[in-house]
Amino acid sequence: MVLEIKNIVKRYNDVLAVDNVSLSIREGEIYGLLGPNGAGKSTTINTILGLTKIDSGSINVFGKDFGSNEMEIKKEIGIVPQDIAVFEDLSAYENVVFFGKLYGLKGSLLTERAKEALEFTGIWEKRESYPKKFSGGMKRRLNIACAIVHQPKLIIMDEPTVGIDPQSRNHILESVKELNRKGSTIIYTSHYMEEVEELCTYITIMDNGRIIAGGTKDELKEMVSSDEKVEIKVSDVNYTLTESLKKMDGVKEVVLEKNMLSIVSARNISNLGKVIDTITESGSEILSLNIERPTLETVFLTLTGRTLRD
Amino acid sequence: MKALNIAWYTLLRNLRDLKSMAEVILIAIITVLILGSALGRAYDVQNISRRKAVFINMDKSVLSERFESFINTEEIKDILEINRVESYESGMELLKEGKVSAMIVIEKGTFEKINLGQEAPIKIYHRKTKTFSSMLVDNIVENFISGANITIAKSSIGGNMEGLVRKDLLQRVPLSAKGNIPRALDYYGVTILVLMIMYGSLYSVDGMGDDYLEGMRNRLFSTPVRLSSHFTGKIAGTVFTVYIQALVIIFFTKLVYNVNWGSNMAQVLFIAFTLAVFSVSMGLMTVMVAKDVKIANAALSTIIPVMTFISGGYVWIRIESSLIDLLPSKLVHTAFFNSIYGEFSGQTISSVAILWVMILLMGIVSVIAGRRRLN
Repeated sequence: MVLEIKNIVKRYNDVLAVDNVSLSIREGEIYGLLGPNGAGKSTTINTILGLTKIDSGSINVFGKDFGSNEMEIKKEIGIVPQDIAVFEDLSAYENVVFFGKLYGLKGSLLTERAKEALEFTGIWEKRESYPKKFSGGMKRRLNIACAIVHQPKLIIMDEPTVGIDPQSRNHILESVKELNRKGSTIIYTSHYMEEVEELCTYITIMDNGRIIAGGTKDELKEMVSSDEKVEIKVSDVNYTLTESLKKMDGVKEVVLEKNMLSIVSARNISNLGKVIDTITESGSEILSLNIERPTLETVFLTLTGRTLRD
Repeated sequence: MKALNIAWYTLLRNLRDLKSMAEVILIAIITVLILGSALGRAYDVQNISRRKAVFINMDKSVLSERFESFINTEEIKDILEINRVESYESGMELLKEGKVSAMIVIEKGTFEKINLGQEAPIKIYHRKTKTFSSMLVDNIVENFISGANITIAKSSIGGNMEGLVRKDLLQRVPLSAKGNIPRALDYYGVTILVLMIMYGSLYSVDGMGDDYLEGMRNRLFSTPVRLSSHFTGKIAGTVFTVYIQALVIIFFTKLVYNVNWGSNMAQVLFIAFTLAVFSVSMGLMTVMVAKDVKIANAALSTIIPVMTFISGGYVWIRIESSLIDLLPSKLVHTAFFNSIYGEFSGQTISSVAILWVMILLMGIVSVIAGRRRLN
């Protein structure tokens, strides 16, 4: 295990920020931490980095107790903070070199790693420029370059794509995948569920300081729904067709509204082909087809009764 | 090494902010010129009128005669008229009436005892409030005793006592009375430098606030660098920034305004360095305790001018209080003025030592407050 947290509790006066949280992250995972503001994600991350002292529980990173091996462990972790944390009055290159030195790099190794980090994030050509002249997306990329210059085993990315253009966002998402392919384990927090769905191999949902669910995206979706809904717009519909559909294997419900058929089937029953055949054989033409599957938003809504951005 | 890295990048970032650097230096240089010119007459030695004192000599030795000759030399007569009175009572009467500033009493056998190495002070009576005039009398008597001590010491190892007394004393008095008295420019050269360095604490507040309270905090504290190294590096970088500004002001005022920084430049530079460390540590402690840049800035922007005013940074004022003597700006004034004008460095050393103790205490408070933030 890269990271093992057991029963950590963090209280700020009367507020229980983290309530008995336990989680394990395996090497090579992209681990998603999902939850609304105030869910306890940042506090949990801060405890991993030693920025917040825990009231109880234990944190093991790379198999070592964090408390007694703090400096050694920190050398192997890179953090991409939510707020852009680069020095506006140092050039892009100087920023990366500064953080490289703090992680103990020096000499030709430092120069080489700084170049690699800037090339990886696509800002090597702009290395002499100051961040104050950068776009939001470029600043975000420099934010990442400063975190990966020492090639850490574990990278923690806290909302790394907030407020940037789609091009930079795609670049960052591709970078995350590439870093993972190169061997880094990644903890990724975000409000954007589609990003988490696309990237993460394991997802934990937090709310009110507690973990309310965890699993792969399919496992999470499985938790909240055992059904699958298909909406089909047809040119013509009759009573015989709806009755035929209702009698099909796995179909639980068929609702007809004007010329729109809503068919609810049990998940894992692959009956869509037969449904299409039945409709076309009845002489009706299919005008459109939409398969509705539960998203992480649905999962969160079902589990907490509110949306992620509430 | 990591602390050095932090120090270097802090200095580099501060030096790149040329506008702020230039502003501080220009304001200091212009303020010295304005105050030094506008208040020049207040510090002019020619404004000192001739003061009066009385003198009773009950001793009949050669040294007591030398003392009488000493106080009647032209150089002393220029600034202090000392007349002989016949009795203690008549002298006290004049003192009470305010007609004289002080009464000097040499009792019978005083100098014989001094020659034998026994304690026998020359008594000086003042009015209740110590004034410039009474300090002048103290100074002159002290000067005579100081010279006499040297003469006696030389005589005891075989020197010529009579000649040495006259020569030594007559040469010392004019030096103290004329050559070394500060002009307004000299005075404000020191006090404005102190004020400017004290404002260096705001550099510390902004720097620490930006890096360790706001967005940068998580990134910096998640690196494998100890809290003490972060603080040491940040303090060192900021100290050097403030010190560079101080050096520019010192050498500019010395070369262009001809401000008297004394003969011991190394001591002056060390005092300026001590104050730079003090100022930056004060800023660090304030921001770490307040946990808010705006509050810390407001607190220091209030405390520094008040402290400067009380310690005579804007206009020379004299408030007798040991508490005020412990104000950092007062301590630094004492250190600077004693280094530049004093003959003995005891007060300079003690003032600087107190400042270093304060620096140590502020460092401890800052680290404790910094650690508490991590909880």
